[in-house]
Amino acid sequence: MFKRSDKRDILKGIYEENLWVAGKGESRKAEQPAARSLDKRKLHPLSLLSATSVILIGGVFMFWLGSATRTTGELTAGMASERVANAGPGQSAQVSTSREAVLVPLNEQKPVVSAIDPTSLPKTLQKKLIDVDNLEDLAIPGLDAVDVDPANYQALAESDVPIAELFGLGVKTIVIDPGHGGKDPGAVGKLGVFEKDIALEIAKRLRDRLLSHGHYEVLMTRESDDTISLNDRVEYANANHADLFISIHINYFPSEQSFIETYYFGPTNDAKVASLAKLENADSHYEYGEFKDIIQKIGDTLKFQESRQLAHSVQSNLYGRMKKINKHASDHGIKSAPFVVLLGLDAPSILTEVSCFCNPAEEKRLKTAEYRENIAAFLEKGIVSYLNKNTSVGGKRNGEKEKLAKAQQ
Amino acid sequence: MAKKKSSPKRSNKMRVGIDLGTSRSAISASNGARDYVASYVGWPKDFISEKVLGKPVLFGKDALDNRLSLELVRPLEHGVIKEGISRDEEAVQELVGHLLELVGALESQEIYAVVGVPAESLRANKLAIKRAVQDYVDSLMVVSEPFAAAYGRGLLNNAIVIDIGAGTTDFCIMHGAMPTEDDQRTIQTAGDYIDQQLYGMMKDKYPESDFNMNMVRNFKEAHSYVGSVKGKIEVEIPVAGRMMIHDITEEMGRACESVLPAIVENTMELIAKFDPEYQEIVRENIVLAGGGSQIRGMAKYIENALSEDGATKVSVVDDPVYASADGALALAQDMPEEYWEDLLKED
Repeated sequence: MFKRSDKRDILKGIYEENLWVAGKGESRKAEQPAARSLDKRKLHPLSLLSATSVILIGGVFMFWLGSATRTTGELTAGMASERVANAGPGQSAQVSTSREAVLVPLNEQKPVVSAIDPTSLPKTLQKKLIDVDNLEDLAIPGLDAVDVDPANYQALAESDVPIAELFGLGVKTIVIDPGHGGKDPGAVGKLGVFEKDIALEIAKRLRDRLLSHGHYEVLMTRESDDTISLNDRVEYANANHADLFISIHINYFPSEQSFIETYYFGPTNDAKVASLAKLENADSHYEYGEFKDIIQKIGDTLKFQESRQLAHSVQSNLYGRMKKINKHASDHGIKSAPFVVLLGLDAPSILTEVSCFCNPAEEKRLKTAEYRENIAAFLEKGIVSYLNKNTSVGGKRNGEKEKLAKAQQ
Repeated sequence: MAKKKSSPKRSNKMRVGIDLGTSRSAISASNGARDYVASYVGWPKDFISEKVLGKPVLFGKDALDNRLSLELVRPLEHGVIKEGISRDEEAVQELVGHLLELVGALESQEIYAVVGVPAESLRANKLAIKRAVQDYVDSLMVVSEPFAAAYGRGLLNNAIVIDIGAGTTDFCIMHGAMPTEDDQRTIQTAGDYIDQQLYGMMKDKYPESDFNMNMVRNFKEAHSYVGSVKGKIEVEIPVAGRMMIHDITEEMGRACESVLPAIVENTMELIAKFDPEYQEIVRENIVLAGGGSQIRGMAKYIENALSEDGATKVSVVDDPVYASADGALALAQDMPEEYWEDLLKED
């Protein structure tokens, strides 16, 4: 079935790779991306957004409930972080100051945060922990630190109230990710149309449309036919503090129907959270790994809630309008899935399959500028509808004041 | 099996191939024994549970059946040992010890193991896997599951192996050389994804019915299909305490088909990466492995979808439960002795 030399080479390849894993040999060239992938997993499971929210949660949520036990002399800090937007292809770097006040809950009796080894946390959170140690003078009046009980985190993670709504997290920066590119053409239609080209075209049109609103900074992971890894796309979005991430793709599936579907970042291990519920009244007995898991869950919950709403808005607008111009449009709905490009992102994120190389007729339609413009317009409707429903521009959500007032009662 | 304390030179050697899967783990040994267990590990919640269960740790179905008394871990969820959660590493360790016991491995034997893991695990945390396994074996090599399955079938050239597991679907191109990262691809649309979709669809259709993810998984394993199916798929689910018949025919089909677009698209992309001269050969040499390959009509459906672009042949491995473990054992047996010796753990 195969040549003896093939087999010998393969066995040697496996041996060398494992020698390296055992720390006894040198890495193969192909291992470089793997090492980066490992770092990625360590550094990005928590987002800036979720990290900020998590830190906010301990204080503001208890403050909101009015049930916190206030302690004195504890640390409250607000941080202004400088944002340096990494320039994407064809874009200039932009600097702006941001952003949300950060409340760091610490408790002298139960130094929860300091009990965590900072080096084991994501870099974004590490930075905050390290900064916080030296920022007593940046305390924000009125936001005292509170007792941190895992039950409170748990309650918040399970709350029906969207966390972003609770904290008035707004949308400023939208990153659009045209799928594939460069050496990776993505799906290829029967007529020779590449997914990478259509995705880029639609993405550019969507960018222009969103920019015309004048409220948002709109960035793109690529603006030309470049090969960009998924990791680089994620890093780019995170480095630019994306508030929303929209990845545009074209489905491939031979059929008369044109499948339209939208994926959003899915929940992780709910069973783990369920098992942590038993800790509700055992605040001094939780372990580091479990505490970290709760934090992770809250971050995921926020991202999950927002991603789902965004996906729903985009899918319903996209499909609702597409079916008027294409009778073969088929609604495959919204689905949760931990795609790599969604998993590593800090921001609420979706991956939308806006059309499908299902048949030559649909492919021909995709080749026309008019059809692509329509798709961009439908995506814009979906995104703007989500934003209008949930946020006001510049970081404050509609209803924020009422919620805070209610919280203070 | 107890952990090994040291690695003295022993004449009595055993080579094993282990398939450490998200859903189930299997082992094939050079003594001819082989076995498998669902990838669940459970520890009694307290001393009362331990007394009732009579064991310090339970595995597979045994663990699932007693899950209310256990801290239950499925350590390879989504195909990776979760970072920073030592319980998962410990669970993998226990699982490997248990698998070795099942094939009659003795502490006095020198054990050389090739472990097949989901490709995503391989990329993400080789070291975590190594840490979890090395206490039970003397020399260890880790490979990706689809590669192990391909090796076991002698599919080393001009072939694509698609391993549809629980947490991930792994693709591996075989082109007569050791596959690199570029030759392997992992997507998250796999068995667990089908379970989630089916659960959601059933909840929408039967909001009053009382079922959980484990029941949904069992329904899938018993009735999964893509394409068409004869008759109705009916299952019994309690509603307000009474068992009622539920028709889930349509939901089952839609949930199982939900993984197809991603699988077809990725397969197309991998074929396109092949040397154009060999694309026709590869197209006729696509092999499905893993639990997902057992979904009725799956191979035919993928074959039809890909046939739009040229003659395609999609086959299913004969023995999906052991395909990767047997392949890993074949690797373990073919591996030269000096390679194993170089990898002997240091005391």
